Amino acid sequence: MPDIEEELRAMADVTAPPSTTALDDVLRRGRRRVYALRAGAVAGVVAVVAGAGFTAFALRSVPTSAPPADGPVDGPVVTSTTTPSGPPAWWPVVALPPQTPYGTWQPASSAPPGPGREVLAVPQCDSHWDEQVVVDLGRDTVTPTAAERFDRAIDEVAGVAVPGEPQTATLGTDPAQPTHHRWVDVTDAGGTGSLTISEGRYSGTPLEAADREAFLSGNCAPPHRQVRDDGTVLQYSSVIPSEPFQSLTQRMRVYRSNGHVVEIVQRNFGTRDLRVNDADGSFERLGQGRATLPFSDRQFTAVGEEVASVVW
Amino acid sequence: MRRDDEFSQFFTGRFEQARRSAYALCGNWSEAEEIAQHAFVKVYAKWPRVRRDSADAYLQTVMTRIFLDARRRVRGRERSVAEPPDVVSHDPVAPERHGLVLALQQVPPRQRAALVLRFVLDLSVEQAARAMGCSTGTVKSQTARGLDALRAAYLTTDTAERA
Repeated sequence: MPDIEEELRAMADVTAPPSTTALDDVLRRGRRRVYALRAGAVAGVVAVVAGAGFTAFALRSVPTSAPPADGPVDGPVVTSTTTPSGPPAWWPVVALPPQTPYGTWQPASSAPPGPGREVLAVPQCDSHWDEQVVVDLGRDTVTPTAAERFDRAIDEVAGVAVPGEPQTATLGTDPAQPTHHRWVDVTDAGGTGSLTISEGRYSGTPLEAADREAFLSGNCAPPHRQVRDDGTVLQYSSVIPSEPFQSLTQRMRVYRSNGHVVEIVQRNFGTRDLRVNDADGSFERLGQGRATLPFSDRQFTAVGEEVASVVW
Repeated sequence: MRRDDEFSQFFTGRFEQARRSAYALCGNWSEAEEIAQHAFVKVYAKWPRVRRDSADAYLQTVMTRIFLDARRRVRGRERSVAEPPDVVSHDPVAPERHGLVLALQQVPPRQRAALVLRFVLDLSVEQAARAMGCSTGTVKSQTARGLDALRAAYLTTDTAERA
C-alpha cells in the first residue's frame, strides 16, 4: 500500500491536457456577471418599492422598449422587466418578409387566463415546423458540459431573479421515444418561469436550417439571428402564447456547423405548475404561471451565446 | 483598465494550478476546466474588494464551494424520471495517477474536498476550514474519514486493476 498522503501531494503535478479557457472569455463572462449583479441590486430596490403591483406595471410599461421591427406583427413584449439598463443587445432581425396573420390570439374557453390577467393581443400565424430539419431533439440527455454552461449562464444573467436547482426531466407521451431536457426554474417578483435546454441534430448548413425554421413557432415577424465566425447560427423568435391559460413560449435554436443543434426555450411557467406522470413522461398543467417570461431578450440571448461557446 | 490588467495577471499566474486542483476534486478535465473558469469569473466580479494578499485563498474558497454546490445539486435535487445520463469520459487520465483519481472519486465530496485542500494544495487546517466554510474540527474529522475512505477505495481499485 503506497503512502496515500504522498500520492495525493503528487497530484498537483499530474499531466494535464491543454487548457481551452482563454482570458478573454473569462473577462467577458466576468463583466457580464458584474453587470447582472449591479442590475440585480437596482431591480431589487424597484421590486421592494413596487410590491404587489410589479407584474401589472411590467405589462403596461414594457412595450415602449420593444424593438420596432417586432412591434406591428408580434404584439406586446412580454419578456421580463428585470432587464439591466443599457444599450439593446438584440440580434439583428433576419431579412425575410413577415407572415400575414390569420387572426389574434384568443385563450381557450375551457382554460382561460386567471382573473386579472390581461389577454395579450398577439397576432397568430402559421407554424412552419418542418420535421425533416431537426431530428432526434432530446433523444439523448444533455451533455454535461452544455448543461453546466447552461446552468451557469442562467445564474450569471439572472440579476434579481433567483434560479432554482437544475433538474433533468424526461418528457413525452411515448415511452419509447422520451425527450430529455434540462430544466431550470427562474423566480422573481413576477413569479416563476423556466428555461429548458435539449440537444439534437439537423440537416443542411446552419444558415439553411435557420432559414427553413425561421417561422418555426408560428411567429409572424421574422426571427432574430446571430451568425458567428465559426459558422454557428443562433436564432430566436418572438413570444408565442398558447393554451392552457396563457402559456408563453420563446424558442431559440443554436445550429452548429457540425450538424449539432441545441434548443433553448423559456416559458412563463415552472415545475411548480406541472405534475409529471413518471410512467410515461406526460405532464399536466396545474398552474397558469407568471404573466411574463422570466428573462428579457437580452438575458435570453446571453444564455444562448454562452451555451454556443461550448466546444463540442 | 487597471481592474482588467491586475486580474489578467492573476489569471495568467493561477489558472493552471486552479484547473489541476479542480481536477483533483472532480476527476474530469472538462468539468475541471468549467469549475476553474467559473471560479475566476466569480473572482473577477468581486475583484475590487479582493485583497491581493488573500486572492489565492479567496479563489480556493470559491472553487471549493462551486464544486460542493454542484455535487449537492446532483445528489439531492436532480429529478431524473427515466434512464440516467450516459457519462462518457474522454479525459486523458494521467496513467501514473489513474488508480488514485478513480479512488478519489469514490470518496464523498466534502471528505474529498478536505483531502484536496489539505494534501494536494497543502493548505493548513485553518485555511481549509475557511475554504470549506466550516470549523477546523470538521476539517480534521472530514480529512480523517476521507483518508480511510480513500485507502479502502484505492485498495479495491488497485486489486481490480491487477486482476
